[in-house]
Amino acid sequence: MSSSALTTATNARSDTPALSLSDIRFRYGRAALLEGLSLHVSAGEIVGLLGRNGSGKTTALRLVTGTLQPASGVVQVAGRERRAWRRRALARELALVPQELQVAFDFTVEELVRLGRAPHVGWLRGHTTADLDAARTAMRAVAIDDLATRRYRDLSGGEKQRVALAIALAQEPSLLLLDEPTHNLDLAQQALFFQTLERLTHERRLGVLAVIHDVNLAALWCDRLLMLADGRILADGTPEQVLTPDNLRRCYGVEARLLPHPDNGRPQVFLSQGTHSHGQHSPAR
Amino acid sequence: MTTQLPLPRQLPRLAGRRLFAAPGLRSVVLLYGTGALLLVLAIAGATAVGSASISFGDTLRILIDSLPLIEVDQTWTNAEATILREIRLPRVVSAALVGAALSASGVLFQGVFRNPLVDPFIIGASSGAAFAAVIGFLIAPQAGFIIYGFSWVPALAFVGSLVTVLLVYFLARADGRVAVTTLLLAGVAVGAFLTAAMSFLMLTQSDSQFRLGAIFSWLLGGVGTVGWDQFLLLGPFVGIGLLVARALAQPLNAMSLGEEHAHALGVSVERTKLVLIAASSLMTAAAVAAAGLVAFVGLVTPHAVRLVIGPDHRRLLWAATLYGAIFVVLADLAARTILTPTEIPLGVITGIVGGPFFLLLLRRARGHYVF
Repeated sequence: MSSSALTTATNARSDTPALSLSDIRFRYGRAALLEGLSLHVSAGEIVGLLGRNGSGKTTALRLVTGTLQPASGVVQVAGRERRAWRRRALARELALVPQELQVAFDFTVEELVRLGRAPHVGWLRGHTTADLDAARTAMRAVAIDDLATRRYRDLSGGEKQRVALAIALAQEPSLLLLDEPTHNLDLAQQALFFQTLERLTHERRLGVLAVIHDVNLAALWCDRLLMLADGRILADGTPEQVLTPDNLRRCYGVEARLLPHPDNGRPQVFLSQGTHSHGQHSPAR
Repeated sequence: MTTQLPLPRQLPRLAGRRLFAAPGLRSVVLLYGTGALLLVLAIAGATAVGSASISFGDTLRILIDSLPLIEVDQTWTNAEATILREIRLPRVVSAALVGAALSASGVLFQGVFRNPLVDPFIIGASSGAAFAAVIGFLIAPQAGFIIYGFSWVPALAFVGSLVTVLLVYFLARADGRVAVTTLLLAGVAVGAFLTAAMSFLMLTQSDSQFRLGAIFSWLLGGVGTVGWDQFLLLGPFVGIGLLVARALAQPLNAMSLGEEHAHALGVSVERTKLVLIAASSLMTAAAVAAAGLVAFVGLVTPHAVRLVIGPDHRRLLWAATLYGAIFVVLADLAARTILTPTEIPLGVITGIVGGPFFLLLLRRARGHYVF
């Protein structure tokens, strides 16, 4: 029911971005962290947000979820100002995939994924059949349906991260926010996670904004990259347009060379040995 | 961030699987049905035992006769009926109320704080109640004053408990938000202050005037003095607290993922926290007014029940309420029968039973205790 409503809403306003931030200013203590940040994410694209540690990437996500409030500027979700959304309605529109789930208590996988139905379930009414179906669909979408009765803490890192994705999918959102989702995963699990994400993004026409530290991973899996530096967007475009030696120097303060990936031609970054352009900058990790 | 150490794919499992893993209808009926049956049996059994010997059969017949619309041929004396209805039954039912209230508020506090070491007294309910109770003993050494069926001591304990929790909550509040760690620390600080103030008050009194024994026995808890009037006054507080808690069980589940994630799931975190703390504090205050400071029930029952049925607060709340009630009914039975005619404070029994039981849970988990 809500998925069909969601589809019509997306179709009716296919021109409005799933997410847009315009001229966001945010201070952390006395230091200005974001100074006129503007970005947008459309339905059906994975947008990678790059930037140095402390550049405000996670802060940007928190301004979208509403954990933090911008000093000025406008955040719009599905064409409507964030503050105009009712909290639960917003949670049906956008979902968060954290770096790592913080699970207190010994929940099973299925119980956790059902928590994703929280914005759909009434206060006193239990989960309806539709809710249980949605949770099951979400588990199938990330291939954890066979883990349903397993306890979360017994899972591997990759399985845990797919549970986090399933919780977000159970919300049936049109926009996904991911905060370094593959940070703790090994190579195989990273690839599996992004394959799943890419398939879902295109199948469900999700808008995806992902904070990613690993520029090469971002170049491989993102349709578009945003480079955040000095509180605003330094570069915005395809991986080829954004990952240039000049941009990498200005963002991370590193000298780098770029080679096309042998399989798909996406740019891959190679640091030049011992040639940091600015003394005060440290190289990206 | 540091990279995570490689983990073995399969961590050692907690010994003891959940008995009611699937939330199917049958297991829910089994869980609540068994609990309700055990509670009725415990209440009937505890009512049958006392200094005046009344047979179990007569006890049952009197109890059934007391139910509306049911008449049983009288095989007992009127005095026996009065003892059961006016003395034993209110006490046993109040014990159930205390156990239910403490366990339910233990569930809520552990849920809100996402912490296994939390009990209903964690943010000052006990120290506030104790401080106020000592004032009650001071101003009314003969306990002659009665408010709404209560003497000064439980009435002041109720107020002291609620006021202290509110004080701690607002002390911990900054920029419209209450961080749970700040709340815990503020609770510890206020608790230490009130305990010291209480000790000072007790020291300044000369022993003859001041009933130290009465104070200590109150501090250790007991339902000895509760009648129907007090039960009917406190029952609604617990009832309201439980209903509010049940209404917020779903958001509380979401808060198991941390406040930021709960927020992203559409939970209004600060409001939920405030309402849940208010509800559980109301239940705790009611329990304190009825029975003083009964230790360990609010800590142990939620753990034990969670191990059996899992952490879903919608079921955990009712199950902990039921089994907490059973626990305290039986503990009170032990308290008044083990050393007859001397009565052991209820808190001593719950501590003696609850402490080792809790350690057993910890040992069984072998260092992998996930609450």
